[in-house]
Amino acid sequence: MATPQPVQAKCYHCGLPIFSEQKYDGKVFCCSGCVSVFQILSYNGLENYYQIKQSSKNIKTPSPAFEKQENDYSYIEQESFLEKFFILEDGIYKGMFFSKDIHCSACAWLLNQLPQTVSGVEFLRVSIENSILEVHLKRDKGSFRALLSQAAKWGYHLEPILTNEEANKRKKEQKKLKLKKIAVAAVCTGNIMMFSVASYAGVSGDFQQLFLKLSALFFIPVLFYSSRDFFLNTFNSFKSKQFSIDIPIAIALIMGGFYGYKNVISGQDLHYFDTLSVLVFFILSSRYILDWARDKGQSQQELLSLLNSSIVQKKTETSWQPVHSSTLNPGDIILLKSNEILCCDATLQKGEGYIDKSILTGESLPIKVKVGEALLSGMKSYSSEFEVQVQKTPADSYFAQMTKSVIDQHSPFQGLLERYSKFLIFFSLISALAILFFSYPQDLQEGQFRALAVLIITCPCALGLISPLIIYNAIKTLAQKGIILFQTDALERIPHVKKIYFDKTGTLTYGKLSVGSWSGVKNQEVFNAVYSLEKFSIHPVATALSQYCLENDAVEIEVGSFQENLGQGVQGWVDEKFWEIKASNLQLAKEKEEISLTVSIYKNRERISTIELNDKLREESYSIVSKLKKRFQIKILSGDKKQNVYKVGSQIGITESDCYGEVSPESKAVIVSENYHALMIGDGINDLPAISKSFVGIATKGQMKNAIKHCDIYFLNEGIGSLDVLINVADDVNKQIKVNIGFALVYNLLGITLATMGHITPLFAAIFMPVTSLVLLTHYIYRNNLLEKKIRVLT
Amino acid sequence: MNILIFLIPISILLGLTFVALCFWSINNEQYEDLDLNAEKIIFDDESLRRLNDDK
Amino acid sequence: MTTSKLESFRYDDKIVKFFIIATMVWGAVAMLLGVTIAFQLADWRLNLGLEWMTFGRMRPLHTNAAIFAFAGNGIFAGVYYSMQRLCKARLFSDKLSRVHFWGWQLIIVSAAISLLSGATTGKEYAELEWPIDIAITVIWVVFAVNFFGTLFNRREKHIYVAIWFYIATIITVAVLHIVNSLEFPVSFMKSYSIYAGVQDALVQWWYGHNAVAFFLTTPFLGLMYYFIPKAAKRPVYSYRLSIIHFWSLVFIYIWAGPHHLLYSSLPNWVQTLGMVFSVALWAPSWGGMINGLLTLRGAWDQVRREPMLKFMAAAVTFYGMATFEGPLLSIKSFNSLAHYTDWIVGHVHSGTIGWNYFLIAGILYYLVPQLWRTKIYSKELGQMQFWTATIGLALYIVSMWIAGVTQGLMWRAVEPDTGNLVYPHFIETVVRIVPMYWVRAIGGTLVLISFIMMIYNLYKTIKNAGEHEEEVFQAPAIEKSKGFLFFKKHRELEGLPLIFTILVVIAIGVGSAIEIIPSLVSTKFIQKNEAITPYTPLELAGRDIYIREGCYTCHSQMIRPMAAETMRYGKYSKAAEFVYDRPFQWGSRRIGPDIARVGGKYPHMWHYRHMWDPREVTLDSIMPKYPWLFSKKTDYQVLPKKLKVMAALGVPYGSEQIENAVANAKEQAEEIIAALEEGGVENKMKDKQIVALIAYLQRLGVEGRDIEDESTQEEEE
Repeated sequence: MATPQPVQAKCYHCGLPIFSEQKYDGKVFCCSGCVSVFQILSYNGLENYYQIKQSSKNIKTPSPAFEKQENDYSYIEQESFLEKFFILEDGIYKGMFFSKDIHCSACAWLLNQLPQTVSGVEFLRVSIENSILEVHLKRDKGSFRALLSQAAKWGYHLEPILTNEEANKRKKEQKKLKLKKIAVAAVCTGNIMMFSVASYAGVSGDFQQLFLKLSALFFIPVLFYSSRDFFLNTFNSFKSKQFSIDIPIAIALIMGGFYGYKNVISGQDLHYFDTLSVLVFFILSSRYILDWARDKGQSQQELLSLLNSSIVQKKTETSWQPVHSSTLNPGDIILLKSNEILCCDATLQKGEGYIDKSILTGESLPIKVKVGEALLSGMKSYSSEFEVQVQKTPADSYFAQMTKSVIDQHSPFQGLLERYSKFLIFFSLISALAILFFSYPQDLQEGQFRALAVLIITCPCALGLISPLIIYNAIKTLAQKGIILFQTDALERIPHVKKIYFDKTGTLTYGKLSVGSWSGVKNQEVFNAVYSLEKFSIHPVATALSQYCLENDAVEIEVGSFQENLGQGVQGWVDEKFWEIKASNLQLAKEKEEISLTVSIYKNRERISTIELNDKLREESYSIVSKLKKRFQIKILSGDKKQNVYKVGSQIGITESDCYGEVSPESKAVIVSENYHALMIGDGINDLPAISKSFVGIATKGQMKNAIKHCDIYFLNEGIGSLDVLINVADDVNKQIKVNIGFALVYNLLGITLATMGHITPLFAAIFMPVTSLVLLTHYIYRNNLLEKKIRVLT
Repeated sequence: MNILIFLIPISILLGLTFVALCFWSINNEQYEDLDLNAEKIIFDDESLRRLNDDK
Repeated sequence: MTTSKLESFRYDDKIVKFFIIATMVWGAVAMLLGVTIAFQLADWRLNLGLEWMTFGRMRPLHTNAAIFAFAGNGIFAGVYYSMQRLCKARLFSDKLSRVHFWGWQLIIVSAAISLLSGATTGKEYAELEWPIDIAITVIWVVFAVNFFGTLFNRREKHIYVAIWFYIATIITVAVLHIVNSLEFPVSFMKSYSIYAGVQDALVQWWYGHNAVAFFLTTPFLGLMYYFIPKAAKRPVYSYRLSIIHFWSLVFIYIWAGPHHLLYSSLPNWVQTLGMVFSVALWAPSWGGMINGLLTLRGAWDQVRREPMLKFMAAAVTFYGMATFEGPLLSIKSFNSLAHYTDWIVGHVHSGTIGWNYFLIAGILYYLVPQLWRTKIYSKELGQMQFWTATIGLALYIVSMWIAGVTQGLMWRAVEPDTGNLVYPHFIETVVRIVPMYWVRAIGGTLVLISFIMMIYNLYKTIKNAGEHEEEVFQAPAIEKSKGFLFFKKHRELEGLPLIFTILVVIAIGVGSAIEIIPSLVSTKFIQKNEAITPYTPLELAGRDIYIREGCYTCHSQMIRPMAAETMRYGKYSKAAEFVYDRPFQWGSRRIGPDIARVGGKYPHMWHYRHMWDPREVTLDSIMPKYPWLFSKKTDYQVLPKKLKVMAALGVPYGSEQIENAVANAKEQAEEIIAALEEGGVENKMKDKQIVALIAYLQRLGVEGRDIEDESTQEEEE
């Protein structure tokens, strides 16, 4: 792409900055794709799309429309695909599609014009929140292929997704139930508080009784409908002998409710229905906000991981037929084109060349394969076409097995919160029972009085209400910095981490070859020649060389009798000189104890320069590792050769003892799970077992988009830059929780002692409790801005 | 002040009706995809014609 | 958006045009009435001594016209336009829309005639007599059927927040109107409210505040959430906030009634309750304002140029101001100063003119060009209208603030050493603020002029609009499995509790209605105090004349338990005193002095000359003359019927009292005329209405002087 123009003009269609300007109808576009979409839209009178775009805000960043047009959607017509992906109900196919290109309500409007142009569409709903398109199509009249190609013409690449209807439905019902519980709690709280204001304002006589009865009446739905979850969780945690925050809440509700109803029956105007219903309302709402924030971040990633739809050419008697990978079965012959990832385990039938086996070794240098060799899913081919025979279907391929076997075995980590609150609640229960016990013979009434005061004082407001808010805020700040939290308690584990294990290729380094040193002749002529020769091949060496020459503004020159011999290199005539680029054999480099790929360039059969290529270290790796070294033991785990790992280790200041080379994915997992407090960060599929078994597992952006569900934390941007931000946020969250707990401990112990001595009436306790929550809330807000400032400084 | 014996049930009755309405709205998935629904009123068909004329 | 097979339909814009024209007509009438009564307060001569022109009867017509005619028609225009667009469907039935339109205009005309002829129930903002009340209920049901029918046929699954506000308005206004209009008819244009005294006060102000709230705020918030985004062509600032705003507003609002009766003989805890919840109202109201204003962020240059957006922005700001002033005024200490003064009038008009008139103006500037497919006649005239109205409103509000505070302070001014009132004579306070009435009248005139500018502007816009054919639209129907608004065809378990709650709601409603109303009417519930006896037939006739002339619009009958008031008016009023007052006449403003204890304070002759010409007894009084009381005869024949109705409503009239009611009334008239003859009044005047009025006035507060009442607290400053 040419260097960007000084004034950043925006493409009229997709709004992205323009590099190579295309003009049409007096408007400016960024690519031919956008121009063609614009033409199509204005042709069928849909140019309102552009008016609507102005007044709607972009939920996601748009993408240019150029590579959308040429997909061939015939695969969707096969019977086997249809039943697998769509539900057939009385003659109507119901299916769900995901598209990265839906980014604002103008897209939703445009997609809704599809039924006008495509026949047979019964129902179509677009949701821009999770960019899903729901379509009901009449079996006989309509065809999905027409629908998808029409959408592609308008710049929307739709991918069918296999969402299990059940899980989605259940999740939606869950969300609705929570909302209803909050609504009921809100109404009842409002009314009960009104009745209490009346009693504080001095109502007396039969109205006082009326209000008492009404408050009791309004508390019933709060107790039995809104707080059902608290009792359920308490029951489960008792059954599974595991502590949960809901126990103290449930106990406070039961005791408060019992005490309140006893007084109401005896006509005493002394009940805590308003305090308890406010407690239930606040806790339910803060948890709803927490779930909402977490779902927003995760739903996008989860959808991405569902996209395993890749289309392959299957060999039938007559010709090659496009078919969806999920409909393959063992024995079929499929074509593996260059630069494509194999979707299932297979054996090579025909053709030879180089394949990247990084899935196993994590080392991205392509390796020569020959006919009959077994290949695993996830491998990428670098040479021209291979014909392979399917051994295992994608669903049970090596890669799929690996992800399945890794289901969440999470260490039973006792968060700080749970450990202290267990102690706190235990103590308050004991003291409440003690008071009751000692006061039993003489004044049970006084005893109950104080016991309830104790329980109200130790109400878990700090734990139940404020902690979810702290975590909610952390999730929000991290999400802005491109860090998605799949396990919220991972944040609490980070400060306990002792060792950090880094994967080398793709995490510490760029994961792709780039020019290290260039010795010998280095002039414009060489650059042009190398660039023109290497431009077409997709071999990693070729891409590295052409990238490097391009940076030295090489110009492409016409190449005569170009010839690429697999694995050795390329040769050809460039402006009457005969050029060859050959990879010198690997053994040569071995004696120097330094495995790296060296390439030499011959001009008219005479070697003029040798280039050494290696996997360069990311810029930020050194600074981040040196910063983390002060606090953690840094180790590198990689499937690559030992020497490479040592080299990278030395570059970032790690002794060789901490670098482990040639480690298989399984043994990586073993090393990590041995030492308890280990954090594993990696980007490759081979790191997956280690990430899921580690104390804290972080996956960075890489080829493993299909399994991110199983890691604790996912970095949206490559490399380890966000690790620093993550650790800062985690430390801050833990400090806040510590302060919360500390404060809660102090005021509870104080409260319990005073209450047992009878100085605190339940009324005062009821007032004191929200005060403490307010104090904690202000503390939370104060820390929150502190954290914002610190993060802004970091990034 | 015994009018309250009449007024309170009426108000509670009203409150219950609105609770029922609230339940129905949640069940009827009225709160899915709020951003889209907020913007949709801007470009419903009728105003589209107006949008064109303003150009 | 959901799309499936397309249906084509047309919007019914004709009905919207009808309502727009009605809004413009009745808006002008209401404001003209407002300006007239404003000038009548400034200069009493403008009452012209005509029976149907005096302030007492014109003021209720102004309030009913402004609320139900002007704002009412404005709401219906806005709702019918936005409902069709939001539901992508034509109105449920054209016939019902026409019935609704002509029915409502008929009600307005009948209200004008009945109010000016003196037929009023005497309850503020609910003055219309029982036949019209029934008509209002019928037309409201017609509107509800039409509205919910359209909602049921909607082609857009999502119910936009504006529609929720409309739903809340329809349901709540229906309940409020029915509960507050329960009256027992005596004759075609006369009825007695089934509640009495304190009960009537609470029900009236529970209706009063919520009618003002639900009729003048909730529908307008709905209109705001639809028209401001459409006019500014940008989505509402935070749609999530508007939904939270709706649900919190709906649950809190219904409890706000009592703050109108602070310091009255309402029990103390009810007053505190009302106060706490009025302050709680502040949050949802300002949530709405912030959401409305922030929708315009980034479009402020457009606001500067477009009168439509300028009106809408100003409307939302005034809504914020009025809903801040409201909770403030409901705090007891503030209320003790501001209650019964003109400050309340300032608050009312910053809401009605600032919020309702401005928003309707903004909506009309948006709707007329859309409906007639043309451009506004002149934007400059729109800007001029805006500035005229704003200055007029500013004059109005500030003058009322000054008048209110001055009067409030003067009433309670007490000399520190001697401890008696600095301004013992009420007239001193009136004279001091008459200039403010002039300023208010001028402000009101400016607002009227601005409205006429708008009428001219819109009239010219409509005239220049060329012919335009009906637009045909296309939208897909939503799949009918959604079923009727409440019931789903395929009923999941979850649907069951919903239906259960609705059935319960209906059951409780019917149950409580049948069980409570009779027990309420029976005397069992009313606190008895033997010292208080029912009105004699002649006093009852006098009371009906008092109500007919709308004396409550200037005089209050409620002495608050405050030192300054008990010194000026006598012992503070007790709940038991009003037990036979049907309807209660506590009043809400003191342009004239409080007359709860005026009975026996002046001789008959004083009242006789005062009603003939108030200047004869108080030199610079601004009260109009009532010459027709001296020519018209008291209607004795209807008295037995009135007593029978009162007895049915629980007043202990014996059967023989009812039979010789006429004789009893005539006998009492004899006593009064005997006293008047000493002052030179001929005997034939004894059957004139003035005698009956004097009988009632001389009775006010006599029996209640020495009784004790535990519910209202003792002396409290």
